[in-house]
Amino acid sequence: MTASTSLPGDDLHRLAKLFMDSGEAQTQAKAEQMIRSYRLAIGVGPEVAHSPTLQAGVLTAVNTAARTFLGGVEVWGVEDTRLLVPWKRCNTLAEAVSDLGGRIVTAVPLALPLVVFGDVPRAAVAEREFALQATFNGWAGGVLPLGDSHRLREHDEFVPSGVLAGALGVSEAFQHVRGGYPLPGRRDMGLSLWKPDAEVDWRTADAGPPLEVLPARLWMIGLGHLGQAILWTLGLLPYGEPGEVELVLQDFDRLVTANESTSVLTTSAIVGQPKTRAMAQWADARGFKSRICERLFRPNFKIADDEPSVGVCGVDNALARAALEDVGFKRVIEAGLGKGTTEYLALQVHTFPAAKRASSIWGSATAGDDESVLDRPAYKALADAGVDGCGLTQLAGRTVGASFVGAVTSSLVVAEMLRMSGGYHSYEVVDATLRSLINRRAVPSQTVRDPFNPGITAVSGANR
Amino acid sequence: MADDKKQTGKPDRVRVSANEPYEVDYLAKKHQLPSPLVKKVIEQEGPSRDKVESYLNNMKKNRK
Repeated sequence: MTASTSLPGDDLHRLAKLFMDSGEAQTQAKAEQMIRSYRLAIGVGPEVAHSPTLQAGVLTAVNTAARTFLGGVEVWGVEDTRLLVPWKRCNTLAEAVSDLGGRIVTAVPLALPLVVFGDVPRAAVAEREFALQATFNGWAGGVLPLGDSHRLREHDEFVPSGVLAGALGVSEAFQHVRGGYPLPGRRDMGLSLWKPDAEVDWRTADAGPPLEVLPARLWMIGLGHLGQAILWTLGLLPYGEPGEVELVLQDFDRLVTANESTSVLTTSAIVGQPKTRAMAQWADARGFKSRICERLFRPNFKIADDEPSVGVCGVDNALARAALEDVGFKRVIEAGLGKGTTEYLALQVHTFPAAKRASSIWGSATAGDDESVLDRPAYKALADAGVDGCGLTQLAGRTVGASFVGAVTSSLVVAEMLRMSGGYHSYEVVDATLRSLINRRAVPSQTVRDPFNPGITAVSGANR
Repeated sequence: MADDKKQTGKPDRVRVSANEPYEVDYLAKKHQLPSPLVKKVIEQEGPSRDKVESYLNNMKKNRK
């Protein structure tokens, strides 16, 4: 494979494809115009200056919104705020917001949907059709209609809760502007990363324990949408000694323009590079140690004693997933996303060993009955314009995807890592959709697992 | 089983209990491992301090 090989769909925004596949857009150009028309406002209150978790929420919201609301992400209230989470060489929240594609403004734009972090003056946000409060406490995070009395204490810091809340805010805002579904903006949505069980109300959930140790040795399989989201959340954690983190980064693919729409560490500057090398550069900049493996994941090798024994998988490939327990990992955390015009909001996280082996879940998986979209107007328009059948089929086969879904999933994956690192409980499966998070399913692990140290390192002193 | 606090004679150095937080915390600090993880080790390996310490020494290799 070479960098110059471009396939149909390599340049297509994965949410523009949603509009083509659903029939909402009559042409590809119209689909791209729709996504370019979307704008979002983010309000930042003074509490954010003192909360790494809220800052992680703001940055996650800006990062995912900049890939979703291509008309612009306008951020109000971040001036002179010192950055408390690591992002490149930025010193202030404003620098990080700008770097991630947000536009700093001096007033909250009136007509735009709004996601707020911390307290913002009521007069500044005024009455508007869509306004959400992102909130957290300890391991619980989510969003509420602005002014809802159930806002959490925002006291016990836990960065992945901020990632969760920020991404959920963007998810709700996107579902609102897309239209056709009245609940986003009128409901609360969140969960406890300590106990993601459906019956646990995130608004009153136990805050969970403070962080003592962080994962230090991981084998990352797949560095696209999910892999980058997991690295994003991992990178925001308060590592005392980042140099003690060892990552193996495995992928065989190169970044294409379309990855910018879903993958939170991809920018136009690195399109064309192998994913492994681009992510290794990111890891090095974060202070982590990394090694790369540029091949498909298959059960044709065994991990060595001195290599990370926790596999973290985010690939959309049944053969790779089926083989996850066959190369010697002591623990595996696997994440997957849904496909198609409705299921693109769905996510699943598995851990192994579990009651069902990975090979039994994915070993006999077939291509499935993917939604046929070739009869949609946008594809007919492309055919009329001279695109051949082969190209159309390839284009139709590309997945719909949204960066905020990967970001929410990453908070669950990293929470699983953190519970594992601390010797706490585990979940065999978490199955959810951002269309209705309340209907999620979480299955606690009943499998007997030997006590296990996955490779841990200390939290920075300021976060103890 | 918890230690019998009435037996105040020679300290019980060969046994360890998962139900005594101070013992779990002591081993956690000694081996620089999280207390819940140490508790699981004691529950799995039983009350023999030697067996528990041996398991913890092996686990500690992944501690940075």
